[in-house]
Amino acid sequence: MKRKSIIPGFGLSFGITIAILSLVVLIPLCSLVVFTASLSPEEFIYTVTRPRVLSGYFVSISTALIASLVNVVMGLILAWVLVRYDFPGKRFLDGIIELPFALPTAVAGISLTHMTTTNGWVGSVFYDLFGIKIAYTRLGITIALIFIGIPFVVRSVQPVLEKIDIQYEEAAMILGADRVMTFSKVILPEIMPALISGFTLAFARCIGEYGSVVFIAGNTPYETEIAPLLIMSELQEFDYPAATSIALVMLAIAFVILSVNAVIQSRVAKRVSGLA
Amino acid sequence: MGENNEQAYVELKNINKHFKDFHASKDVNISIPKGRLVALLGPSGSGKTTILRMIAGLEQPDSGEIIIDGRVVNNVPGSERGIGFVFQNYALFRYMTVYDNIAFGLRVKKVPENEIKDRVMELLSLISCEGLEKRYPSELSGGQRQRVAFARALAPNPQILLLDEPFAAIDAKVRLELRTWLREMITKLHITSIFVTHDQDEAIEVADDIIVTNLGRVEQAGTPRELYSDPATPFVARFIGNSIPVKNFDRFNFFEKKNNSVTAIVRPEFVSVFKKGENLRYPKSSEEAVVEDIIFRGSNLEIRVRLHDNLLSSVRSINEPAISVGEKVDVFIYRLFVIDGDDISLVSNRTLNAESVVI
Repeated sequence: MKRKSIIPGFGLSFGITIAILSLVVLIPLCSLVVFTASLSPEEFIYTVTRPRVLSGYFVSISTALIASLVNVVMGLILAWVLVRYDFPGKRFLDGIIELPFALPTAVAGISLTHMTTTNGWVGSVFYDLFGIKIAYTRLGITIALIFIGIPFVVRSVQPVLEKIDIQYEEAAMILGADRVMTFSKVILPEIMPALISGFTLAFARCIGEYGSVVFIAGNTPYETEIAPLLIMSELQEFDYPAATSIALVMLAIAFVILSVNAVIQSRVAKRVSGLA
Repeated sequence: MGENNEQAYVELKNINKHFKDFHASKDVNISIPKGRLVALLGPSGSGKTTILRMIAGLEQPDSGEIIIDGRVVNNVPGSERGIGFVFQNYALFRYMTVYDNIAFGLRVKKVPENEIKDRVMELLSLISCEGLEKRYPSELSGGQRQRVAFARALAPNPQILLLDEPFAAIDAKVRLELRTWLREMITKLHITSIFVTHDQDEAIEVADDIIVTNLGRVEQAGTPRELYSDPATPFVARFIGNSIPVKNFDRFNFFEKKNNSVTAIVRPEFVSVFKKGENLRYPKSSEEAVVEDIIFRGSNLEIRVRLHDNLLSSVRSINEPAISVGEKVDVFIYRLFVIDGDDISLVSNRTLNAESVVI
């Protein structure tokens, strides 16, 4: 006998879910595999392991990693300030967090580049005082990626921080813990899953970021050439299989990152389940 | 308390506290002797939790002094007041095991790890939770969580234990067991304890002394028996016991107006209901009334009768002859609390006074 679920419409809504996922995500991704399949395995390996391509992965991953780590710290501080304190302009600041989502990434890239060249407002200061170049270096790429990734961390941590009961901190305080202990032993474990999730989202996004980076990167081969740019240049040469090969590798990297996140999240959820 | 002259261990003197426009504590004076188990009892919003939190150092009074063991502690942080605090929802650290939760207060004080181990094991056996040290709070039952919270608060050997609504989050059956358990535990440890509750049964059953709060004031402090038999204010009379307000009590036989007041409070144990034909002890002063409702309470019956426009309640044993709804019965009222403005006084049936005169 078939038992009906209490919540009706599973068949319909599940069908729609699969249809949307297929149209928007799965079919385009499959086309990657199809295009790539025109290469032999040897050709594929050669295409994705050329020194210039390897250096592209390295630049993308290393700058994305540093930017995301910086964002974990900055995002946590931002979320903390927005949740824990009241100050004039709080709503405005809260709204601004999402700006990197809303702004066309190219606009962000151009304005960041303009600011950080050796004659720019910020860039000139750093160059004159410390001899540090920002634009057209990996530092510049990292800064663009920080800009792109910050909302992911803030928006992941903020709701969790809001939900933490003040009683945990009071309990720690009465037991004699100072602020550092209370934060590291009581609050940090509570927000850790959200921080990790914000970090991986930002990291995955930064690895694939193109628009804001191309202007500030300067795109010097082996130095500041990111993997998405390599895909773009292969496409401009109409070498679709080469472009899709690199894209496939990027896809695999993103998939691994998100899977690691999913595993961590489910482990944490198990520990606190039952105490919603 | 109050009347007895035991030396106060925890004392609040003329405490006032505001939360913005809300006056949460109004001239609160409390004195609690060492080793007592005290309940702060009041309806929600009566300021009982505020008092507890001020003793714990979680809130600062606007004025007045908090004195613990002869020392004014207003400017002493909560962690140095020698207190343990059990929170309403226990606030167990979710990402720590039971062991780490209990050890937290000791690790903070840099106690050597082998001493911590001995103390945690000792507490685990005290709360009968041996073998649970590796579990996480989410893997415990409500009662176990409460016990672990209790052990965590006790670990650093506090002189005072504060408990905020300790039984509120537990289901009814376990709550009764835990009440008895907590009372035994605190008596055994002889630790001065203060707990907040809005449940008068809980306060009466568990506490040595009860402090009744209402609208930010302390209404009365005393033993459960004192509060019960000698309420200081109309609020206490209404709040403690199963109190039923009556109007025009002067129309009852052998009661007369007092200072023109005609409102009073009657408790079920002040009223006896007799089936017609039963031997009446005070036939002359009993009155006829009609049974409106009978409620089965398991071990006894609550009989509701209407007398002079007032619905009175009385308890009757299930072993006595059965009474049915609509039946005419004889009702005798022994005594009632007369309310006159802010004053309250116990008035007995004149028949009883006459009898005692004769004897």
